[in-house]
Amino acid sequence: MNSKEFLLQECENVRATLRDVLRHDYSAGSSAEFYNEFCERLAFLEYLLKPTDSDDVSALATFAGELSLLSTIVHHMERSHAGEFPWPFTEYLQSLATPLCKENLAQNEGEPIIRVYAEGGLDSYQINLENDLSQLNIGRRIFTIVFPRTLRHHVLLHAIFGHEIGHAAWTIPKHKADLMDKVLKPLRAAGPLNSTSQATAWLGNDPGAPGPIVDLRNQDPDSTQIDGNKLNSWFQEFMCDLFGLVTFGGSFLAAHQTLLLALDPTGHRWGPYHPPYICRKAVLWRACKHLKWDELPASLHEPGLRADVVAFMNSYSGTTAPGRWEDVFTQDQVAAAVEALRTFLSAAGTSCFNMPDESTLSSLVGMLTNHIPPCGSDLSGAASPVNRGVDFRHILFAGWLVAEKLTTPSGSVKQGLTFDQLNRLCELGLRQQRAIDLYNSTKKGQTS
Amino acid sequence: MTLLSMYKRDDSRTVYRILAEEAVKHIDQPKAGAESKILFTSLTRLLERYRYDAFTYDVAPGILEVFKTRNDAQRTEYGDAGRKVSLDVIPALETAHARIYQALSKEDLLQTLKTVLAQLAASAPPDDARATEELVKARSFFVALCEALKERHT
Repeated sequence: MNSKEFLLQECENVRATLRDVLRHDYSAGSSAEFYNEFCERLAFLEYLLKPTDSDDVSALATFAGELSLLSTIVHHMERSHAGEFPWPFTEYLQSLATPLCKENLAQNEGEPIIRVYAEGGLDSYQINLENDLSQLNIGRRIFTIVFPRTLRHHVLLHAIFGHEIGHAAWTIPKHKADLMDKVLKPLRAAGPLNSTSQATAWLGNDPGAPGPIVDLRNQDPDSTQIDGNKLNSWFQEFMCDLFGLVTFGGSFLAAHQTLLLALDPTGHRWGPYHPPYICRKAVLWRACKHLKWDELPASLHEPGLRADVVAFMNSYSGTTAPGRWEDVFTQDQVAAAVEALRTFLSAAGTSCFNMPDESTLSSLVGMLTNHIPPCGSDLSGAASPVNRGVDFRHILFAGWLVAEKLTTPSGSVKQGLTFDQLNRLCELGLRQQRAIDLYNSTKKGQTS
Repeated sequence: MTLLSMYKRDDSRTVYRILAEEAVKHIDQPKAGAESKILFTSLTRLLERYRYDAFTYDVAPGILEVFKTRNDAQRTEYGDAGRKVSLDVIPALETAHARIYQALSKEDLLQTLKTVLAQLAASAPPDDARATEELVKARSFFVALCEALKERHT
């Protein structure tokens, strides 16, 4: 069997696997979208492969790569079947990400396919970007978001996906150009990360660096060298953190700190793609200040709720300004970036996070403290209950306010609630809210 | 250990040579269906990248990448080849652009070819002399692109 014959056979194998994958249940309508997409890709590949000369080794090598990639993604689709992840959360996530991931290549363009599946340990939070560069065979773009298997129901931590949405938007050339020009330009305009030489001097020699940074420098002096790629990656990470904050709000702030500090409790380590956490936190601190979230407690009338918000902000935004070394951008730089990002998101059709009103927040926190899934359900006992729309991000924010009380018991949370149970309550709340939203939109459609 | 390891390579000249050849075939003999849909989508993506000078592979390492050590080899990546710039297709596009549409900016080139590709995707024959002329020019562009990619292949 020569290479071409094998590849044609492998097309049949992928097709058989694709049919096999359909034995699982997927969230409503989503199996048809990926099945049709893969059938089209297979048809295109076979159409190209069949007339190819068996001596055209370049083409055959390319087809082999394409086919291997296709079967990998089919396998990932299979793992995104219902029951493997909190689908109501994913549907809300898709509502934020889909407008951003549209490429606007053609008038009747299909929407990108965004799927979620579990894999690996704590460090596995990631988005797989299906890179179209030098790929023959992509119709609708497919993004798969990966989270740790152990955190399947931890919707409060999944707020970290707000960061990954930024990476997805970055793959669209027009978006990338806009983001570089509007969001990153102000951040790159001044400060210690203004150039690779300044950044290297700041990371490797600045005498004002905290002790743990000095230790890390001494352990691995080579890692203090910042070249163009590393600096670009770091800026992309800063931007994606702002994406997370602006799209998911307070819950992103908490998830970001919880996950990153869980694996690096010092918060000082860096890598080729990521800057030290303390720098990222400093950017988020300045962004929160710009968004006036630090002023939220003063606007609340209910003392208990005010105390909850104060405790949350103290834990996740911080009580003091960042230190000089890690505070790599000025307030004006961060403010300009945040405003540009909000404008960009609105233009794309993705809604930014706005703080909930006091009544909504109080209601959601109250439900959670009584172990009731938080959502817009009317629990008044009225003969004709009126369930209302609630932004899913407000449910997550309320969840984090209550999570803060778990570690510092104030007696207001009913006994016995764990972080895991709190997440499951929020997951149930999201599911109930999704039902309310669907019912309300159907009803609205009928009346109009 | 995997069965085979190879250095990743820049496939762009092979990929875009195939797509450009197919574009010419579809202009000569228009056909509807999945093949043309994916073909025209891929070509439009290429032109978008050319317009915005976006020829790098995008990588989104896990948010906790800084802590990764043991699982690196197991992580599946979708065709990422690091931050390597795709070199071969850029000069080929510049050559085809200069040869056929020298008076047009990248933005205008993108819009012109997008219009032609959209008409082809809709299997709509050119309805006037200008549209016919644009189709002929588009064909010449893809022929030139294909030739430029083949030249670099030797």
